[in-house]
Amino acid sequence: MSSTVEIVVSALDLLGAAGFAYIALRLASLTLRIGGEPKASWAFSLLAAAQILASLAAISGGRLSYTAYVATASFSAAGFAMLTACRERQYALIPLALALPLGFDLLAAATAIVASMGFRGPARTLVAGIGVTFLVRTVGLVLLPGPTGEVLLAIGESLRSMGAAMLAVLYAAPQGR
Amino acid sequence: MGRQRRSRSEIIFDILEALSVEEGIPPTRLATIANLPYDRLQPILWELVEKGLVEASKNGRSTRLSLTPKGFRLLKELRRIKKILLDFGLDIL
Repeated sequence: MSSTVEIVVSALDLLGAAGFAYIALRLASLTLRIGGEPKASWAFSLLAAAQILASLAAISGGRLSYTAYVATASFSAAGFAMLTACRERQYALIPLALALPLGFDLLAAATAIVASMGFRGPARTLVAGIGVTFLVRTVGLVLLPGPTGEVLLAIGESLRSMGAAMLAVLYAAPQGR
Repeated sequence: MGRQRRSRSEIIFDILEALSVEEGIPPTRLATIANLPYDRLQPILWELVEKGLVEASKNGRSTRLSLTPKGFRLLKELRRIKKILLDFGLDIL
């Protein structure tokens, strides 16, 4: 990716992180006031962490970038799994995680797509879209090495950053939506 | 499949909604509107009174309940969050 693209992607990731963190804080504040379980708040915190790591992966280099890159998928998978864990679909995730051969990218894709099936409104489309971009990541990284794979990876990362930023901003907006 | 049992936060939401519609109602009427047995309503209700979200005023032998401004603010926030969580397929909290 060129440095301009990296900066834009990183900024979008940070915007998404801020939106998810804001939603997580609002949920945590409500949980403190009226009780209940903070599962949803944890889920959005994990998604915020994933976006921070994605931003770090885009602008840093070397091992840090690689670690952050892998952790983006694992934190996203954890966040989507927690959102899924609040419903009956959670039982589909364990066998799915065991069956996936290509690591966290594919797991993030699967959890996002499974989770999105229980969502509605823009959340359904955007989370499914984020899941698809993780699939693109797997294809670009593992199945299509070389320049084609790199271009595909760059497109996938840009789309994922945009999707996550849109999702976070849409739901963090003061009117709720 | 029948509706799942309401969570505590959903019950609180229903109580606050009921009080926002009808002011100065007795606890028994609130229990009917919130669709909750009176003995289950009582501890939650007094907790809301202690937190300053609901005001209980004595009128002779009867108690009248109404939402405080703090309660209205919480209800507003709960409505917004409910919209978000419903899109993500979640219960209120």
